[in-house]
Amino acid sequence: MSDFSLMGVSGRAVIFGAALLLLALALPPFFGSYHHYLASLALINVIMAIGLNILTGNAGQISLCNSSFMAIGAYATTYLSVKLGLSYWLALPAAGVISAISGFLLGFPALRLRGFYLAVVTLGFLEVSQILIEQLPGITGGVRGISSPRPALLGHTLSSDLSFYYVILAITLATLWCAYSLLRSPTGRAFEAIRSSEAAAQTLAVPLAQTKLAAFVISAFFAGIGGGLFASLVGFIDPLEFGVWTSVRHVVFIVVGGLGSITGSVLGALVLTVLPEVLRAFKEYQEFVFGGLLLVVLIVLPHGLVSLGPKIRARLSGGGATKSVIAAQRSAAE
Amino acid sequence: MTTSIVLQLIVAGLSSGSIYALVGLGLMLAFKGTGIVNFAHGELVALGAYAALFFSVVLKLPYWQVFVLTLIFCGFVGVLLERTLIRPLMRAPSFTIVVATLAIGLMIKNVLRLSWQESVSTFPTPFDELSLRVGEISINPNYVWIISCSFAIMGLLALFFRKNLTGKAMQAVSQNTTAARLMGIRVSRIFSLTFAVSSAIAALAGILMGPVVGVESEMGSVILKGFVAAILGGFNSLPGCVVGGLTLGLLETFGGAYFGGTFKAVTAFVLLMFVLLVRPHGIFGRAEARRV
Repeated sequence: MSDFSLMGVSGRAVIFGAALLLLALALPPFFGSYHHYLASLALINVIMAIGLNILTGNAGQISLCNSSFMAIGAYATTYLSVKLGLSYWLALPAAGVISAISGFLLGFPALRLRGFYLAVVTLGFLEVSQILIEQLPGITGGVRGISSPRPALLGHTLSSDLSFYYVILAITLATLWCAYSLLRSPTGRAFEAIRSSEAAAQTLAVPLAQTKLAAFVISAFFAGIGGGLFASLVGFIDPLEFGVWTSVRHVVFIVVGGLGSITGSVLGALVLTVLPEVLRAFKEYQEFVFGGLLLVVLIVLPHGLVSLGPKIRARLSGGGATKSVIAAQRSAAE
Repeated sequence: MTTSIVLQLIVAGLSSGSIYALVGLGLMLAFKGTGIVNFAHGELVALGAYAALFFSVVLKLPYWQVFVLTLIFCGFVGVLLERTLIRPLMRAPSFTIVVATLAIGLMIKNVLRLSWQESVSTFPTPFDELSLRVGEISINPNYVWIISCSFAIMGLLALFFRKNLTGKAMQAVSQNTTAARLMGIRVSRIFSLTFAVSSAIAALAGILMGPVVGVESEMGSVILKGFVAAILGGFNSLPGCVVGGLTLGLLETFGGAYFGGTFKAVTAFVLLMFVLLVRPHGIFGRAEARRV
């Protein structure tokens, strides 16, 4: 193990992260436009997964309407920048805030619900958001969709996929940093506390309602930002993009990656965005495969891919395997 | 608005309402019997409709045989699902159950969509040709069939739980699994039976819905209406669920007629939020003490 650490991260992780970042910065110019597009999509999915994982993995609140917040972010960004002529760099955070406000409005009644009731309500919210998109063609373009242009930066339109990729990379890194700091803050600890036991958390003076609301708001904000980026990356949005399948896919990202783990969100989103593209011959069966994968992971590997590394390492190092697995799982859950 | 239109709306509302009640009933049954909230239930409704479509269009069987065969087939599918996929999840936390059953639903939906590529999306019923007139009002006989069929099943179920020994055993298991096992009830069999009945009821909803709304892979979204029906009834009472479903059906139909499609589409959600916030234990339910 290395001796130094940065902000509580072990030296090895810092070096590994820095190497990954260098690759993410240096490699893309050597690839084609399609790969830039795919990488951008993967990074947006990372943002979506991080947001959902904070709400579901850390704070323990089931949500099946992550794609609704994504839709709110996407349509708000498009409306503000196209119809109202706002700069994209103002429209995007504003869309995030609008999405966060919707998260607050949904979180408010959801405070009293738990477990599957919450799942039903979020599923209902998703359905309503779909209907509203279809019924408000003045804002959303209705079922026929609406086009969403690329933004300009310093006088240049980011029309090439490579330039927009770097913007998305920067925003993803910012998201990662925010999520990381958040989970180490008192609020982040409170999330873990209410997930483990609401009653115990309350006896420790964790404000239950405030904490849950915070989780909903933060998660919706990230989803809104991700949605705004998605709209201008793809260039065209319609309600089909934000249906229940998209929400379930985000759930698959975090379950396969690892619930409650930022590394898990990143891993799950990257792997499950790239893999379907590689296996495009099976596109017809994608939903089937995702469903099957979800079931297998839930039963066989409930802590997700992030729990796999420490397990393998423990097996390789032999003795004391169980102890190090437990320790690793604990650190993976951070 | 004339009386005849109001009457027609009532029949249409009761008919969709009784379907919602059936879907809710299946959900509630599985939950009470096994503690599993089955988010794949909507896809079981779709499975029933597709099975009926297959028996009717491909095998060209008459409606009554289609009816019986579909119920039996879907009952078996329910047992199979319970034995293979649901059983390992029974003690899992609610998040795992929700996500796993969603995954099962996703897989069923995809299989249905891929295995039925023909353009035919409806099957005939013996009621298509009939015309039913009460005075000057003509009523769709399919609606009457749906309403009477649903009510017959609900009545049978109520009898089954009150009078039949197996039905009583199911109730015992849902109240206290350990005690039921000690009384010599084969709990594992009851679990399978519960899922068989729940799936067969889902299939019945599918058979009844299919000819009216058309068979398609998105049919499963009716699960939300089923949830609303069951939650209106407190998620633990048979008559509550029936009243909940009928209320939703009538509200939707009349709301849609007076205020348009958007209103109809959001009725279920608004009703759900209202009930969960104002009377979370349902219209007829009692608040339950919760163990911390």
